[in-house]
Amino acid sequence: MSGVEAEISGAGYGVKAILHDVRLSAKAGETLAVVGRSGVGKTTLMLSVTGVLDNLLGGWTRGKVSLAGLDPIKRDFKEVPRKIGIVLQDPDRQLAMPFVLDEVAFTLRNLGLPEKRAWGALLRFGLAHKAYAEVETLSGGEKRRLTLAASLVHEPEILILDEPSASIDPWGVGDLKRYVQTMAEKGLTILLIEHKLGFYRGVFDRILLLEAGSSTWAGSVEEADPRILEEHGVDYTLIGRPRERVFTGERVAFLRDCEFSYDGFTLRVDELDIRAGERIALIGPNGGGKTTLLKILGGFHRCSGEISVAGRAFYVPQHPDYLFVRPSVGDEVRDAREKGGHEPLGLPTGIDAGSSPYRLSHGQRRWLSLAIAHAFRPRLLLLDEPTTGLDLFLVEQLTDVLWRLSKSGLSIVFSTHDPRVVMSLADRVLLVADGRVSEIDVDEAISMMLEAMDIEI
Amino acid sequence: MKSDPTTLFIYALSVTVLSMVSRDPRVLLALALLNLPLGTYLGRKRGVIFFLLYFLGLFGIFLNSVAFSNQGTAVLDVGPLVVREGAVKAFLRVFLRLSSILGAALIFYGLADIRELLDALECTMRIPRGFVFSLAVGLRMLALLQRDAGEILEMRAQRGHSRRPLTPGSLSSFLRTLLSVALERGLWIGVAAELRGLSLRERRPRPYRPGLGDVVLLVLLALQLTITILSMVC
Repeated sequence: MSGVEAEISGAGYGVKAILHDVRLSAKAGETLAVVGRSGVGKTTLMLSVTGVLDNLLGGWTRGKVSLAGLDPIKRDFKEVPRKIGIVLQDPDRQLAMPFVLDEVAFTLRNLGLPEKRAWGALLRFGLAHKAYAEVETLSGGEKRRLTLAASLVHEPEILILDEPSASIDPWGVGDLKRYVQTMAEKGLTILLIEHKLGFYRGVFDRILLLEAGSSTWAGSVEEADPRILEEHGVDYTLIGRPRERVFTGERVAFLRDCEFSYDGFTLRVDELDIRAGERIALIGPNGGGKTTLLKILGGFHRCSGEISVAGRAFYVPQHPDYLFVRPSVGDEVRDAREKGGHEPLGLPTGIDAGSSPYRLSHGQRRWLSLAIAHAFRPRLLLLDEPTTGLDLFLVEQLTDVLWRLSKSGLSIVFSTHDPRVVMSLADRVLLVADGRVSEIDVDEAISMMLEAMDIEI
Repeated sequence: MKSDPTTLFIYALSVTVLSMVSRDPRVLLALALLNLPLGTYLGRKRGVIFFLLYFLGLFGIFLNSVAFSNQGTAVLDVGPLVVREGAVKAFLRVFLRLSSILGAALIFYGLADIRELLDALECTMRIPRGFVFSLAVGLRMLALLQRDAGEILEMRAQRGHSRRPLTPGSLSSFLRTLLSVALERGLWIGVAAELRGLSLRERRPRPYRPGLGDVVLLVLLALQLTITILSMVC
């Protein structure tokens, strides 16, 4: 077995270089965390070391890469799948087959291996009872486990994980950590690309820090300085910054004996009052009903019982793209101003008004969606997992903006799987699980989430 | 009635071809009567979308017949709308053709197991792996596209735009978002599939073993083929 070695002096698309000087080394059996701010080139590095950048995406890499003894950039790209397993950030951008068993068998058949092995992988990842289910019927956590099963079924030497904890609940993160730990104990070389490094403490051996497309620091966990890492947008300590409670007491919305059913699932809310300036976090497992509750408050679903919202509610979806209606950022802002009747929130510098909203980075898209919502001056802002895929700086910027908006009387209800956001922002926490909504103490909620993730602070 | 996907594919394709080549209304009626009732019975649960498209199609065909073949004796006179013999004949011919194709499609969709179908396309019918992979991803993407479309329409309404994108401007805005999301997803699914060895994939043998269901379908197909050929010869 051999690990991953890369000396990259440049990589990118066309004339644009995204990576400049990266030295990566993960010995066989080692777990290396590749960290850095959003947009520093972590995903490009993954595409470069696997040969995808040069062989599939029309990009280029200058330098040398050795992946389990193969040269993925020039000679051996076709052989790479035999040596690696890969898990991408969003399972819906990875799962290709309509059925669960086929997804795992797909890897095996491609590589000419016996397909009966698929059952073993499904058993190991707790999915055997769903073998013939359609992939679309799985929860977010189950889809994540399926990507792991399909990536490990051929027993690769190297496992590459690109922000695998994005969009999964704390219980799913706990499971994921245990699986990664088991793989590490079995001797797999693991590349973990992540900025929520604190979620994986105890899992990785070494850290590689990227800044503006170059590797600036590499070392063991013992050598790492949490302060320096956090200066580079890497969340190592997972300590949120609690902000003062500002709600005024005036009631903005209430729900009473509200029940909403679809596809055999029922969400029931006995009583919920939302007051001006309150920031309420919705936590709970994937598929528990958080998005449904947000959509009830946003007026998209009609429930039985009493519901009242004073003024306008605005819902910002988890995928900001759904909210865009115009071909350019400038047109989006103009349209929001015209339809919403107010000036949208200012956008960060560096966003070109002429560029397509779909070509912005994830953080910029998230910001644009919030700016659009602000143009409508809602009394109640509903955010579905607003920090997914954002680095520490962006999370802090977002929570700062939300805190300022709530000070002006805006009530905010947001769903999240991230204990840092609950720490930083929540006045109250509602646990939404199995279609029931119950209020729990903020500290209790944070402890529950950290415990599920198997994290001690 | 279990049938091999290969038989189903050949059956549906052949009935479609026969319906398209035949011009004799009696033959088209026979094809429709043989396929539509059976298809309606077999595909009644899974094929609702086909019926919806069928009725939409019939409406379009009626308008088309009135616009382009409205000649001869008047059959129906309702104020400004006069439907003539030519329009009725043209409508009936296309209606029967469409009914046969719908019947065959419903037989195919009602009996085909999607997993087995993909397998048969690749291994028995030797269709290129890229096409079969695209079909599999397409089947998975259908569910995702449906979800995306629902979300996009809700968000459009929230932003003060029409929930029904009926004008060219709103339709292009709706499709731009839908396709941007789908294209990005498709690109990454493709990258992941290549890293899971799609280009190394080799066909494995899959024997074709026809059962009773296959025999029934093949006899039915032979009957329709005979009727069509006889009508052309005699």
